[in-house]
Formats: sequence, C-alpha cells, structure tokens
Amino acid sequence: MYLSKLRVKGFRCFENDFNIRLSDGLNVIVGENGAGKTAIISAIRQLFHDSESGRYSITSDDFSCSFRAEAKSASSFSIQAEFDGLDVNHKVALLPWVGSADTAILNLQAENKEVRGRFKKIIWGGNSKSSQFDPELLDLIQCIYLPPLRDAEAKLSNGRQSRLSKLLKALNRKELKQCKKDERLHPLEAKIKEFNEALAADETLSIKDANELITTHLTQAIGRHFGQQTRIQFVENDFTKIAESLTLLFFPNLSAEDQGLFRSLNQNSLGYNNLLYIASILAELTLNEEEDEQPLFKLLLIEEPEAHLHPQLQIRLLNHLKSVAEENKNVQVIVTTHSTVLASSVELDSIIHLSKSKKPIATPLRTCGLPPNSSQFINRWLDVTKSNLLFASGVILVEGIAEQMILPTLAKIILYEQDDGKKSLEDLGVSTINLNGIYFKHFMQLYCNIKKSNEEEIDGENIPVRCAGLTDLDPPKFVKVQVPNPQKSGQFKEVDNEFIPYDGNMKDGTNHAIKLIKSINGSTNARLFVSKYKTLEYDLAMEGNNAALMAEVIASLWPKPKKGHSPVIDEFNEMAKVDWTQQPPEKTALAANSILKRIDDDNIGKGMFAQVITDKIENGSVVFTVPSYIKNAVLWACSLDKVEEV
Amino acid sequence: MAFEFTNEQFEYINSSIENHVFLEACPGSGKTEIVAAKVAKEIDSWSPLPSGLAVLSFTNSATNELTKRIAKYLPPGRSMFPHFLGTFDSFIYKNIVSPLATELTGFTGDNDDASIRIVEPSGYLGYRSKYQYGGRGNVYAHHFSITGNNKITFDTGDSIQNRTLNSLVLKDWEERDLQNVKKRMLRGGLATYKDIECLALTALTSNNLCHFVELLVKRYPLIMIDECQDLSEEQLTILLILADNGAKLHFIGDLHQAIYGFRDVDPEKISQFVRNNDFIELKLSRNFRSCQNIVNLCSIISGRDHITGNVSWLDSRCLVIQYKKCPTELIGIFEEKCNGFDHNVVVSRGHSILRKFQTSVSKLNNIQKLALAVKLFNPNDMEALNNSMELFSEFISYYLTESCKPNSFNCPQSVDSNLAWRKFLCKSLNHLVSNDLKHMQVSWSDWVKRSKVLVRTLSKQYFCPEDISTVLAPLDEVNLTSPAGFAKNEVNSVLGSTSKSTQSYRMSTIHGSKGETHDVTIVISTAQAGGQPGSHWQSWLNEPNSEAARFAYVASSRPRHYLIWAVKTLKNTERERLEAIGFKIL
Repeated sequence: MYLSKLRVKGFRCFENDFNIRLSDGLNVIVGENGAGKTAIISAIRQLFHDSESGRYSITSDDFSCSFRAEAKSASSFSIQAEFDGLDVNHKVALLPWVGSADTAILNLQAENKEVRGRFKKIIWGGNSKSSQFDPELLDLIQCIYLPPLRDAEAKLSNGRQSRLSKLLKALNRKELKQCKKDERLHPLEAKIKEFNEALAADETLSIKDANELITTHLTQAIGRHFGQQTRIQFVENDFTKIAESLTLLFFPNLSAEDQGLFRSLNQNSLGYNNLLYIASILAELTLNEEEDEQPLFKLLLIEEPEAHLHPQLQIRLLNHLKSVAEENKNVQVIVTTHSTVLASSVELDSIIHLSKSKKPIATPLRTCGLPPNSSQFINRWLDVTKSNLLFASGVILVEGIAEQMILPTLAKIILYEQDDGKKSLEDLGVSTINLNGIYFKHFMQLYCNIKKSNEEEIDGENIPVRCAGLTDLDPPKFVKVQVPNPQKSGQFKEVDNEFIPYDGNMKDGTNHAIKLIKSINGSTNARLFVSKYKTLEYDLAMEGNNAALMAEVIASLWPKPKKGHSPVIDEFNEMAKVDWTQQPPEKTALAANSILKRIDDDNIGKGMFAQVITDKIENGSVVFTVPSYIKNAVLWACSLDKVEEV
Repeated sequence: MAFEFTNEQFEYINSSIENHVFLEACPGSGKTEIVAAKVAKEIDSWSPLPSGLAVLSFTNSATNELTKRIAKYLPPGRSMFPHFLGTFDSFIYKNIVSPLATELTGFTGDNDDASIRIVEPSGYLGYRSKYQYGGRGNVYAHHFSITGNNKITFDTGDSIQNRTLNSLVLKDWEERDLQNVKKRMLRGGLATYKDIECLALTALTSNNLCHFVELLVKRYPLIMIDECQDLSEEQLTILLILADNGAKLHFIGDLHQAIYGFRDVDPEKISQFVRNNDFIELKLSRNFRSCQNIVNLCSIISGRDHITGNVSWLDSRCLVIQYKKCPTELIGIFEEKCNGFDHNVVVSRGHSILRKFQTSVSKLNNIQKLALAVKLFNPNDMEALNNSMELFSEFISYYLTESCKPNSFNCPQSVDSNLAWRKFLCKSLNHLVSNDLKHMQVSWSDWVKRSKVLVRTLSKQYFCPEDISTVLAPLDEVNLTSPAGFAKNEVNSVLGSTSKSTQSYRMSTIHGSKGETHDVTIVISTAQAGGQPGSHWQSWLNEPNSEAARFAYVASSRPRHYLIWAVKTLKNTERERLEAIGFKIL
C-alpha cells in the first residue's frame, strides 16, 4: 500500500486544483523555493496523525490567498489522497474508502470559519461523506514527519517523548501489554526497583544516612503524629519514565571499547546528530511488529534531509532511505530537497519536479516519456551542476563550455533594456546547462515530446518550464568545386574547397539535432535555436564589429615568440583595426573563418577564449553585438519573448 | 458485575459465533443485558483484525441503550472499532450504499461527496412522473418504491391515497414511467429509506460487485440482530446473501412482539428463515419483569406458555377500567392508580387517542398546530416543550420548499446545524408567546390575524441566523386562515382544554413503548371496534397469531406491577370474556 495520488485545492499556495502522483518507495520532490514543496508535505500531514512533530492543527494561513489586491483567502480547502497497491487485508480494513474500486480514497475538507481558534474539518473515506468512517483507521497509517530545522540533540537526549523512549516502547510493546495484563513489573522496571532498593539499603553509601537524617529532623520538627516517611532513590519507576530518562552517547568511530570514552551529544557535530536522529527513526520504522499491531502502512516525510550534511553523507543517507523504502514493503518515503547533490544521486524515476508558477504543476520525471536509453543516459550524466536544471525557472541547454561561459554575459547585453530584477540570467533564475555535446534528444524530452518522423509519438508529461536549446548549424566543412585542371588545360577537376558561409552563400546544416527542430518548436515550452552560419564563434564574429574585438583577444592570447614577430599576432592586430561593419559579408566571413580556426587551435582553445572575451565584454565599454539566435534563445528561456513581439 | 446469569442466559453468552444462532427471548428476560454481555465477551476476545462484528438494531434509542450497556462490560475508553453498532438502516446506508453510491445511482456528487440524501414522503421534491395515476395526478418519485421483481409500492404519507394507488394494476408503460422518474431521483442523489434497502439489494446481487460483497463479509463476518422480529423481507434477503457469502448471523428477539406489519414484517417469514438456514435455537423463558399474574394473562393473549414470572400476587394485578365516551374521562382514575409508582405509561395503538389528552381536536390542521404549539409552550416542562417544538416545526415545514429531517424537528436539509435550528424554534416560540399569542380567549380570525404578522416577520428577527432566514423566505408572504367554519369561534374552545401535564404518567404509542419496563401500564382501547387494526381490545383477543394480539402482547408485557386496560363501557358478555382471562373489572 502506498500513497499514489494527492489532490489539493485552496490550501497554502495551491489556490487551484493541484495534483501530484507519487510512487511506491522513495519520492524526491525538487523545485524552486516557494514552488509548494512544504505545502505538499503539510497537506499530507493534515490527513494523518504524525507521531514525531506533534499535532498539526489548521491555521488561517493554510487557506490559500493569492497575491492580488482584491484577493480574499479561500473559503475552504480540500485534500484528497488516493492509495494504491492494496492487498485484501488493506481492502477489508478500508472497505468504505475503497468501494468497488481498486484504490482507497481519503478526503479532508476544512472550512475557513474559526471558532475559538479551531477550524471545522471533515474527514471521510471513499466518495461519500455518509459512508461508515472509523477514525481509528487513520491510526493504522503511521506518518512520521521530520521538519527541515530539526533539533536532533533535543529529540535524542533524555526527556519527555524522546526518540529513545519511543523506540524502546515500540520494541517492548507486546511485553508491556502482557505485563499490564498480568499486573507484574516489566523486567526493566524490576531491575531499576532492585537497584533502588540496593542503593537505599547499602550501608557504605551515605544515601541511607542522608535519609535517616532527614527523617529524624522531620520527626523532631513535627512530632510522631504528623510524621512522614522519606526515601531517596532514582525517581523513575515506570517503563515510560525510565525510558525517557535514558540518553544516547556517541563515540566518533566504531572502534571504541571503553564505555567511559563515550561523550554526550552536545559535543557531537550537528550533522552526525542529525544522522543519529534519522537512524533512530528508521530503526522504529522498520521494526516489524506483531501482525495486529502493525500499521497498514508507514509514511516517512523528510524535508531537506541534506540539512547539516556534507555532500558525501547526503548521498549515503539518501541511498539508505531508498533501500529502507525498497526493502520494507509498506514503507513509503517522501523527501523534499534543494540539494543538487541529492537530486543528482537519485534515479530519475524517483524525482518529482515542482514548478513555481501561478498554478503549480508537479511532474514526476518517470512520466516524461523518456525512452530507456535517454533515461539511463541522463541518470549517468545528471551530475551536481547539471541537476541545476531541476531548480531553475528557465533553462538554456548548450553544447559546450564556450557557450556556458559566454552566455550569461551575452544575456546581460540582451536584457540591458529590461526592468530592474530582470537584467541577468541569475536575476531571473535561469540556468545555463552545458551538455558537453549534442544531447538535446535526451534532455529536451523532459520539456517536450520529441517526435521523429520514423518513430512513434511519445505521449509523456513535460516539465512546465521554459527550455531553450542552442546548437550549431555545422554546415559541411568543404564543398566540391570544379577548378581548371592544372595538368590538363581546358579541363576541370573536382576539389574539396573550404566552405565559408555568409549571407547569400549558405548551406544546410549537418547537425543531427536539426531534425528535431520541427517537433520541439511545436511544443509549449521548448525551443531549439540554431546558429545562422556555422558555430558559435563564427557567428559571433559575423555580427557587427565583433570580429575586431575577437581578433584583439586572439592577438593577446597567441603565444609570443621569444624574439621577432609572430605573423599570427601581426595578422590579428591588423584585423582588430578594421571596422568590420563597413566590410562586405564575404570579407567578414573570411575573417570569421580564420578567427574560428585560431580559437580552435591548441594554442588558445575555446574555453580559454570564451573566458577572456567574457571578461573583456564584462569590463570594457566595447560594443558587442549578439547574434539573433542567441538573443531569441535567451528571451525564450526568460519568458520574455512575448514582450518582444509587442 | 452484580448481574447473575441464569443457565439459559449463560448458554447464549457461551454460544458459538461459528454458527447461526436464534435466541428467542420472552419479555422481561433481560435480553438487552444478555446481548450486551455477549457482545462484550466477543469484543474482548476478538482477534481477526481488521474484521469486526456488526450489532444491528432497529431504532437509535435501542442502539444507544445497547452501547451504554456494552460499555459497562468493557474497560473504560475502549473504542468500538473495528466493530459496528447501529441500526440496520444505517449499516446498509453507511457500509453498502454510500461507498458504492456513484456505481448504484449514477450520482456523481459535488465537492468529492456523493452522499445520498434520505427523503421522507413528507419531503418537498420536484421529481414527478410524466403521467397521472388513479385520478390522483402525477406521482412523486419519493412516494413509491420499486422492490425486487419490479413490484411498485406506493407510500405517499397519506393512507387513503396509498390504498387507491396500490390497488391500481399498472401497465408496462406506466411502470416504465415510474422507473424513469425513480432513476432520475436517484441520479440526483436522493432516495427514500426503502430505496436505500433496494439499492443495497442491487449491490449485493450485482455481478460486477461480487468482489465488494466478499470484502464486506470479511469485514463483518458476524452480524447480530437485536429485535430480529422487526426484520422485513428485504432485510432478510440482504442477510441471506451475506450468510451465503460466509457471514454468521445471530438473531435475538421475540416473534410474538412483531408489530411492524405496515413495514411488511411477517414473523412467519422470520421463523422460516431460521428453520431454512439451520440456526441453533436457544430460549430465554424467565420473565424478570412482570408478576406471574400479568405473565399468565400475556400467555393467553399470545398463546405461548412456559414463561416463569417474577412473583405471584393474591390480589388482582390486571384491571379493566371503563369510559363512557372518551378515555380522557379517566384521567382522575389514572392518577389514582399510578399513585405510589414511578414509571407509569399510558399507551395506545395510535397517536390520535394520545392527542385527545392534549386537545379535543383529533386531527390538527396546520393553523391548529401553530395554536397548539403556542399553547403548549412551557420552558419548564420538557415534555410540553418537546411537543410544542415538534408541532411548530411541522407548521413551518409545511410551507418550506425543501425537504426536512423529521428526526430533528424537521430541520431543513440546507441548515447544517440541528442545534441552530432547535434554538431558532425555541426562540421563535418564545417570541410568539411574548407577543401575547398565548392569549386565546379571542376568535380564530383575530388570533390568526395577529399570528400572521408575527410569522411573516420571523425571518427578520435578530435571533434568526442568516442561513435559516434564507430557508424561511416562503414564510414571509405566507397566508394564514382560520380553520374552516371556526372563524368566529374562540380559539380556546376549539382547541379544547389541555389536560394538565402530570408528573405521574407518560404517554406513548405501543411502538414507542417497545422494550420499555413500566411499573403501571395503562393500555387504551378505542371506543369502536373497526378502526385502525389492533386498536380495539376485542381484536387483541381474537387470534393469538394475529398482529393485533401481538400489539396487545407488547403493551401488556410492559408493567411490573399493574396492567390496566381502559375500554369503553362493557356489555355483560364482554365483561365475562375479560374476567375469564384474569382481569378484574372495576
């Protein structure tokens, strides 16, 4: 049994109907701040009695209120949970929730009407309020919630409702019940009692003397008639109190043999305390109890498990959570995170993307229709930096490091005219993701359904976030040209001639991604933009007077000979002096071609060049013209394309 | 527990829950206590979670009583989960029809809630048949039910109309017409109690839902029916299907006390059911309530013997008192006979006799209901206040355009809180009384004129909550008129003098007194034989197997100390007949 679907309306940021599908086992919900991750967890907590963080009663803030001037908060909210994977035992227990269906439904509705601090709420199972509803059934669903800011130390130390006492009680539940029935002490209680008696009676300890002294003075003061007996001992006498007075100690590694070396938890690191805390919860969660005491299903909700942990520990913890969810049949784990480390270490199928939009949308990545090879590819490739894309409000996918470096700077030029707060990609929360190759087919399937003419149509869900791809046209490098044959005058022979494109002299690209354009650009959120002439650097050089600046950079980067002149440096210094805006396109094209060649040369390299020119553009007052395909891509990813059209 | 069980009682408490069992319990045998003890025993040793047992009775008060007694045997604070305690109707409504509401009726509901609303025949609904029937116009969908084999039974809330319609032989197209309008009503999310029963039967017999039935029987593998003599034929069919799927049944009751003939309850069918399904039959034959004198008389009425009573008295404990015209003449004697006892009840077959004790008008029209409600209103007398509010709510609901909840003072469906409605009724009555409507030494026309103004402005009063005020809209333009022919008469004279409400005895119908224990029971017979069946004493003595005899049996087995029949002045032969069975004629 697991929570398969959650429908929320009028609750927190979910003003309209919001749906999220969850899967058996581990679920990792990712998304920007304010997308509604906590609201999802809170909605689940509204339904169940959560045994770890106490009761969560409805407050007026739970009723959604949109950020409009005339907005009123919602008059009610409703939460509906659907459970799948039910066996016969589940179905019998939850019969009115199930009806004739295969899934069980639980509904909650709350009215925004406060009566002495309480809000009226109705819970019912199945599709009619009038069905039999046993509130005890909710207790058969064990829900544990760990908030993002958890005080692990307090929870682990001794005190009321401590973790240890809960675990011990869970372990001893059956025995305690039997003891109560037989009216005898639990062995632990008996041991403590014995110990207390031994202490009180021991002549060598001063406890006995102290007690006698007190009694004597008391009797002297108030006389025999009013006299009282006293006794000095450790206070605890029943199981709960004993368990609550136990505390957890630690030793930094597993080698300790001397018990005296263990330290109290306030000397431990925050991160380790957090891990200890979670470990104690997992210990209780995975405890297999007697059949009739066993909850139907256990739900573990953790907000930001990464808190206080360094990346390696984050990954270990997540993997452990995953194995707990997989190995224990009736355990489902739901995690929210901002950690790119977590997002990149978990398999794509467990990730649920949450978009921050007027109407938040949850997209389980397993429903995006990724073919198995794409899915495997992304699983392997989604590293810490690439998993950025799961948290961005807009995404620009690029092929290489040069684009990744220069794009944010070019974006500033493009966004110069925009209002404050929209002047750069960072302002707008748009990420540039370097795919290190032409892998649009795999990644863009997350944002749109890519259809190739010879393939079946994929009907997957899409992440409702703008995604722009930037790719090179890559026309053929050479063209066959007929030239007079030097051997045989009057005759022609075919040779490969370098192809240098310019307006009026263009060829179709050879880039295989170009075939996807039609399908991608027909989608709602994704667009693939192709360079006009050839590749990034070439196209940059073709615009305005960019070639001059680029030539200057090459000249400055080209290794200087120990003595004499470098013809390359001279050549590019000359080029830097030309006003390329006044040159005919075929001349500029020649310049662009040699610029591209030198950048590609091992003496410079695309990455280095991109970094230096980025610095130049950032610092200097140089005018740099951005090719329109890049401009369009940036505006698309920033959702500013419509404004442009007006 | 201070209660000591007899062998008969122990035998049932220790009976197997792996078998069908029928426990026949005579009146006063401590049946409820035994059922409670049995249920508590089973609950305490219950293991197969998440299954539970279902203990069903037929009235809310019986359920409440049972719950209270079971709680005595269980550790405090122990919840009833996973067991179900409630009425038969609520069991099938909550556990069969509601979870399957959409599948059964096509009603999709709104706001994720497809609860079916129950309507009474008196409710106001717009689902009408296309054609007219029996010269009575179009028929409303909540005024008939369609049981198995497409048998159509009318229940309009008006007995004459019922008789006319039920005697019709319906043609095919008429049946289709009625089926259609019923379907439309169900799809609209409304149903009568009878419809709920039919829907439950549909669910249990439908091929697509057999999986559900299997689960239901796993959920409730043991069903105990208290007062099993009240099981109707449909209810027996439902139980039969559950039994066929593996559920075990325990019936507890007394077939001699079956008095629900008007609901198609036939004790013969129940005993047949018990025989056909190999029930183990057990008996409780010791009456702890009544003295032997009363037990003996009851044996004659019911034709059943071998019941042991409590004590035997030498003086007569079964009395007959006579009235000349109207039983209200006997109020003085009732007082005298009840003197010295605490729980004394005057019972009769129908409400009409009881009402005579409140007013001389036997059937009240709507304006008279209002007048009587005002007249009875007395915040210090719970019984009078209850009657007053009931009458006043009937008066109001007559004008409203939506259906009401009859068990909650006719609270309109759209008013969420029954409490708010009760408060409103009480404050309204208070408002009417403080505006001098209790002054009834005036002509009807004057009184009606004054009340009209007050009733029309009820919705504007400060004590009227917003939602109720919306519902009351039709009252704002209501037109009230004097009872026909009485415009000039004094209100008080037409209403008659209310007999003063005494503390020494209570009034109840025989149905209402079922299961009760009284010190003195006064059973009133109508003056004329030939009224409502079972309301005249002669019919009580004619045939021990008749329902009339069962009425007399139920009523006469209530008292501990004195049984009094109030009858119209007897002829000599009649005297002898009553004396012969053990009565002393006063």
